[in-house]
Amino acid sequence: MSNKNKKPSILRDALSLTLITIICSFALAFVYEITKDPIKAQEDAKKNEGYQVVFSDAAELVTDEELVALAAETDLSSLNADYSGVTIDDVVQALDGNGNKIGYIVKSNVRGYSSTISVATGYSLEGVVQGIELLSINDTPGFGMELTNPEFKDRFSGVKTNHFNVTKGNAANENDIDVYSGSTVSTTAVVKAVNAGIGFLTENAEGLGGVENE
Amino acid sequence: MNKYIERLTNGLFKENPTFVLMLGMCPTLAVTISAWNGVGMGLSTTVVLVASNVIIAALRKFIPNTVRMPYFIVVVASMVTIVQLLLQAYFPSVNEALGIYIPLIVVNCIIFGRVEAYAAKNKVGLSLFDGIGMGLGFTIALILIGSFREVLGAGTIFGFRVMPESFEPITMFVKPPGAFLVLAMLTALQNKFKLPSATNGSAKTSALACGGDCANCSGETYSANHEKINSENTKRKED
Amino acid sequence: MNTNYFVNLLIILISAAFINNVILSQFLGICPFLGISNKIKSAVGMGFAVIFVITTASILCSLIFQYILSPMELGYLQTIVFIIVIAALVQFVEMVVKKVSPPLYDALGVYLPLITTNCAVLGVALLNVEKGFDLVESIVNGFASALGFTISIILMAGIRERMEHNNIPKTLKGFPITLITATLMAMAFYGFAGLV
Repeated sequence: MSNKNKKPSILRDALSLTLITIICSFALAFVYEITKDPIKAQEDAKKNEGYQVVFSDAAELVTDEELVALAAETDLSSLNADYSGVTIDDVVQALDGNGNKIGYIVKSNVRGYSSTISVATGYSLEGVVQGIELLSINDTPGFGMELTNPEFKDRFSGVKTNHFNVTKGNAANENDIDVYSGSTVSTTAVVKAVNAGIGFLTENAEGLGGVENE
Repeated sequence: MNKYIERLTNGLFKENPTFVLMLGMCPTLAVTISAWNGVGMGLSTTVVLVASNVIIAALRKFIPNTVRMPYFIVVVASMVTIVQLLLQAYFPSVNEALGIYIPLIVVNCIIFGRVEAYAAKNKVGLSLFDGIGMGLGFTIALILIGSFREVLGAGTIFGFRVMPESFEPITMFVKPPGAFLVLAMLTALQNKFKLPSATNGSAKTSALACGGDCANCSGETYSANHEKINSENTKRKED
Repeated sequence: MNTNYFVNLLIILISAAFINNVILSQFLGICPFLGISNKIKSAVGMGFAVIFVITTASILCSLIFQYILSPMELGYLQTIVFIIVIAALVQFVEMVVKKVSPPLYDALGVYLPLITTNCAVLGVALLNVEKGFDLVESIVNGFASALGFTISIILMAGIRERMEHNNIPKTLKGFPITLITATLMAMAFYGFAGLV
């Protein structure tokens, strides 16, 4: 680097660098403010789209604040050791056209093979899984991604159960899920997230197992 | 006016960043699994390049020589973040498809190369056209490579089916090994037909700060080090 | 801290080093991979410099994100903050190594400045955040990614040293044959996919 400039002055250099950084920060903050709401709207739209898919009978979705708060402070591994590592950050009531509650949608997150997987599970009051949807899965494209294949998700739909088992190519019962080759960890993670979501609902949600158990 | 047109054609053909200068290979290989990805990546890079070029050219008289690099880094990184936020807000599908490669535009040699070699020494108007030319040259190259891989790997271009039903897609072309293979074929053709390219030493490489040689990236700051590496290597040989 | 956690770390290690190899499947750091892979000696030097810088950068970036950016909801500044931190880190490491250990500087020094704009460093730092890794996981992921980089660049250098004496068709000499080698290596690494 040439130092042909008059006299290198640390103060002047530092000042000029600070100035450009401040200007850039303001520009960034400005753009961030403008884009904040659209980004949030996009995320919500995507989430709702996913929710609609897992509970196609639902006419209206209402967030269940009580259960969301409860989920935040519940340690799922205390319900069942199998659920350790799963967190639930959203619970939504599914209402039919007349405003009657017909089930719940629960969003559970679990660490997959190399990233966090978010799964939405639709669960009716009768205990039938309406469908599942992977809301975000950043695993290696081509591997964990196979799980976004409808074939895999359809395995869960319409099954009346409160627990799924992972099997290796010998699924016999309705609630057995075969592992996707090359995605053992991801498959297991998704099944665990679904089980934990259902487990949380049957334990705590009104109108489901929670009340019946009492 | 001719000067401006010359800048455009320079970026599009004479010094096409991908085909001739072989710059920015990481995004070229990584995102070109489809033609649409090529469009998204190419245009995002173009916006960042044009904005950075204009800002640096406008400020070129105020930038102290000693802190030039951090200055460029701050400006380029801000532009990239702005583009990323805009994509998230208005084109979420593009953002999702390109993922981490959007923030990685920061370290694309094309941007630093142009900013340092051109914008820091030329007027705003010329730098603007230089950015547009280079950016579009990059975009077109990505679209071509993306279409090629998409046709062979999935039988479609821009998502439209172009191959007959009987065509069995060669999935490898949309997977990582395919990227290397396509680039290998491209550079082999350039060798065969003696096309100007940085990879066979026939293109003028001195015009860029980073030597225009992505294989030996990056930046003027490092040319000194290349000499060092070379002298070190010869020293080792002698030992 | 239970066994699950360590199994998880092991999975991160293997997937970052082999399955999601930074070069052969993520295309990060292609430039040094093609540029500095003609001699095993320089490949080893570059590889170790990268391991050192990526691991350190992972620690710093993870700490900054978890304790400064995330609590203040400034996540959108991560790109700009990370690249500045990495650039400063590389300069700083170079100065320290030069002062403290001249032999180490002789071995790694010339490669350090080449790393600032190596997209693998920034890429790994960003991936750590995107995947929601905690500090320990970030360190493991950073180290393993760099290890994967080193493995591929040394393998490549070994192959290229041997190829020097081979009779290669004129058209394929230089860049094309190197890329074809990379293709075959990428295919081989693709086979690791079923590992986890």
